[in-house]
Amino acid sequence: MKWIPVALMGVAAFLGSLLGTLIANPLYARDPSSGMAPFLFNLVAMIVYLVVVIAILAAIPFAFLRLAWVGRRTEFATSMALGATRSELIRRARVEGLRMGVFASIAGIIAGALYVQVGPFAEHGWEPFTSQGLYPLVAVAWLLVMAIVIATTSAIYGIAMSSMTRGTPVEAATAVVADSASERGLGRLREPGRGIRVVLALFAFAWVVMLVDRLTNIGRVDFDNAAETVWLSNTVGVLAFIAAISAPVIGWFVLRLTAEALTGPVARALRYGTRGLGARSFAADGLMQRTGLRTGAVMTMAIVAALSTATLGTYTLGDHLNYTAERLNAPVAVTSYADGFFAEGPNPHPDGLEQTALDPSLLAALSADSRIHVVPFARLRAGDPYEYTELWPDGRIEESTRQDTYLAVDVAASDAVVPDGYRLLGLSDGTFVAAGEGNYSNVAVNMRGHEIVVAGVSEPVHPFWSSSRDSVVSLDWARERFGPAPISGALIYAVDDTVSVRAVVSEYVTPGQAYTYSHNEDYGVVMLSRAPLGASGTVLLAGLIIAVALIVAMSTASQRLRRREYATMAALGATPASLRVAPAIEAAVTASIAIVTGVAVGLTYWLATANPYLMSPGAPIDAGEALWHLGAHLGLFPWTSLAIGALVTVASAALASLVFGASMQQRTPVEELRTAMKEGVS
Amino acid sequence: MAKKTPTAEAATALKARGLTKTYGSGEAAVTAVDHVDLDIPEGVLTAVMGPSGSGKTTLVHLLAGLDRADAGQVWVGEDEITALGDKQLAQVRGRVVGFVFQGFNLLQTMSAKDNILLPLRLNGIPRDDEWLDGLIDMLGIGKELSRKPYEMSGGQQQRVAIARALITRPRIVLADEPTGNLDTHASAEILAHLRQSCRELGQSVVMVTHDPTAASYAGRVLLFVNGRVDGHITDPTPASVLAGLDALAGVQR
Ligand SMILES: Nc1ncnc2c1ncn2[C@@H]1O[C@H](COP(=O)(O)OP(=O)(O)OP(=O)(O)O)[C@@H](O)[C@H]1O
Ligand SMILES: [Mg+2]
Repeated sequence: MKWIPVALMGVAAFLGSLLGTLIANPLYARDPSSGMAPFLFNLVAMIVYLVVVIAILAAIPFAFLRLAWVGRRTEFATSMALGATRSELIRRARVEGLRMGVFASIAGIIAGALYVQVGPFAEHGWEPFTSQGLYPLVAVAWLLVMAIVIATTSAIYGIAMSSMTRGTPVEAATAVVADSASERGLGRLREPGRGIRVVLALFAFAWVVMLVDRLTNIGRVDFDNAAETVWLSNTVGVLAFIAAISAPVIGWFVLRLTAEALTGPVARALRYGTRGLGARSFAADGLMQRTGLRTGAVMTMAIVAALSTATLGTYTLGDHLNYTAERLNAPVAVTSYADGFFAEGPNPHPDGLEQTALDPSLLAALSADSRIHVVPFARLRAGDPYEYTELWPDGRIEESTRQDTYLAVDVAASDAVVPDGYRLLGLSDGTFVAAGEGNYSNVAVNMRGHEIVVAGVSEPVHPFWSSSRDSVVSLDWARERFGPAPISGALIYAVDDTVSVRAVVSEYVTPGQAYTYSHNEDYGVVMLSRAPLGASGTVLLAGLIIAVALIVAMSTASQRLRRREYATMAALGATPASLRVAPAIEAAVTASIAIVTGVAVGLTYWLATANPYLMSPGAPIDAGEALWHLGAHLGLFPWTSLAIGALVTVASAALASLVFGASMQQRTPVEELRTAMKEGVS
Repeated sequence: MAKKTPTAEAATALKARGLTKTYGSGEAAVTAVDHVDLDIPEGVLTAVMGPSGSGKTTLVHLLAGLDRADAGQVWVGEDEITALGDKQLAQVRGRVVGFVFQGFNLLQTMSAKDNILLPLRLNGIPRDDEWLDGLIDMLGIGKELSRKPYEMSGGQQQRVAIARALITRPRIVLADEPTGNLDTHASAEILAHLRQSCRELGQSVVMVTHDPTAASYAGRVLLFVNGRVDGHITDPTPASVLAGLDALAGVQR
């Protein structure tokens, strides 16, 4: 078991190395554009992310390390009693951690560097950013990864030792006992110190500002009067960041309090009707004792469960949104106008909805064809034309005059393509699906929302980004706000893969009657997950492995610690069967509590952050839409996978305990007491 | 419980035949209990004395069914416990025998009171408050009831362990040095109590001790050397016990 923490740090080093190596390309990759600045930017980003990620991940090896050292507690205490100072023990642990860190980081970095050369990145690379000319500089990234991993591992070992040798030798020795008995493991929150209070106040203030910003959009910067508002926006941004980083802290406390609040009632429910007899009652006894060991394991497992749930939700929803947006990207558009979103041409274009109608008979004919879906729209132009300079990868520079152009889409008709597709992407009255430069549209998007100005009418709109390739507003809403307009175009979709939309459309459109635009269906901007299991599967599997390893380690360690107790109970007449089953029940209940708490917190976090109408500053305040998205997201969540993951974890917890318990029951109480002594549990 | 008057030919509470237990193997093998034949009469306080390492603890563990013998049989009353299955053995441990460990083995996670009541819970025996209060009073642990074992002195823990062994009113009590950590006054009180319950309630107590004064409370003293019973003393006094032990010193290697 003592190798698990090292292996985990190795995995961290592997990931770090992957990042570090990826900021340059695989050696054989092409070298399109390069520069020192993007490299440095990536390096800094990598360090910032890595520090945060490793700090979170370090909790897991720490938990394992404490579990691995439980049996050595008396040994530590005795060496203290025999004259070793605590700082010496801690120093020695740090040195051991240092050695392990060197080992883990070197192994991980080599593996990561190799994987980049042969792994799936070879296809893509991060070509826009870097070059192999910078490859020697990657060594800098590797050294940083190594330093971070070694420092973290050493710190973990030191902190673990320091937490296990607290107090005088006698106290440290009885901590073996206290670990399964103390009240301080969990529970009553201490009066926070001044420093903590200042930090909490800052967190609270940041949250208030973030809420105010959400409600009033005070952090918005306009294109035209940027100078005056930019300081406000920056301040709000910093505070929002503080609020965001305080979220895990709050999450931690919520996890802890919930796990504890659940344990008591569950234990009482378990004991109910047992008259103090039997496995259920023993398990309840075990649960009622607050042990530092279980607290640590429950917290770590809950964190793993929360992270897995949130990531699972994020990936699944992301995949689904990408899929939805992809489906809504029409391969062909038929329009009554020829100039797309460019403002040049024979006539200067007026603001507002396009008044040239698409030939109604053509629209009717297309709509009647069962091989295609037809989604009518009206073009909406807004604001003043502006100069636009485009730099092509081959070095060409292209200048053009453009004007913000939206597609006002018949949303009901688009439901035939993907039911509730646009709504899922966030579309409602007063919002638009944002795409920047799209296939058939083009909008200069202000992240915090802007106004659509048409002939003096100004309507605020809020953008929702997705991989949609057109900026879309609702046709009904646009007509209501900007006046009547005919259908000026139609987006055409294939009913299934066998249909060529272009061919079908060309059967109907006669030259001069309308214009046809088309776009390749595999534009290839969206990188869907390419992992063999899919991204969410990989996340789930990783979470599952960690959770199962944790619960197995925890239940066996806690049974080791309680070996003496069980032996004594056997000596006092407890039946072997009940003693065998009790730890299994206890482990299963513990795992369930951790999972329920973790899933609840992770789900809440995901639902709150994924909902376009909840946290995004500037989005319309619309409880109806917020609820609809909540429901849609809940419906999308892969409950079955989660349930299977949870069941597997709980079952392996119970099974590991049963197997371990069975081996205990082979022996007599006296033999068990001797084993307990041998393992340093007094 | 009905009073029992000891009859001339008292029934046996515990019986052992050919009882043997060897630790380790080969060169390092130690035969801690070596073909012991033993009859412990009902209603008598029996003391087991002998040098350290002579196998007394091993013997009482075997008699209580807490450890497995390599050979031989043990009867508790009419039942041969060496032939019992796990479940019935658990019944014997819980309801028939009360055991005081040399190292107490209190559950560190429970208060003294919960420790005392534990055998009742484990065996589904209803609690008798009068009996409990009597024990607490006799042992003088009223103030310690809510404390955890690690918050108590060795002697206090020992008294809690004794209370735990007596709470079920077992027919047989096996105690491994139950007064080893106690002052003279406290041990006198406990020993008097044990002797009284043997006489008046027909309980049988087997007590390992190193203390001749403690042994003198017994009706009979077994002398145990090198894993074997090496004679006994009936109606002992401190002086006769000392004399017996002196004789043993000669026997020892
Ligand atoms: N688990 C064990 N493994 C090997 N030898 C053991 C083990 N337990 C006890 N022994 C040996 O068996 C012998 C008897 O031990 P036991 O504990 O029964 O003695 P005792 O008479 O109770 O001694 P004391 O008066 O010191 O408590 C001793 O020589 C001891 O070394
Ligand atoms: Mg002994």
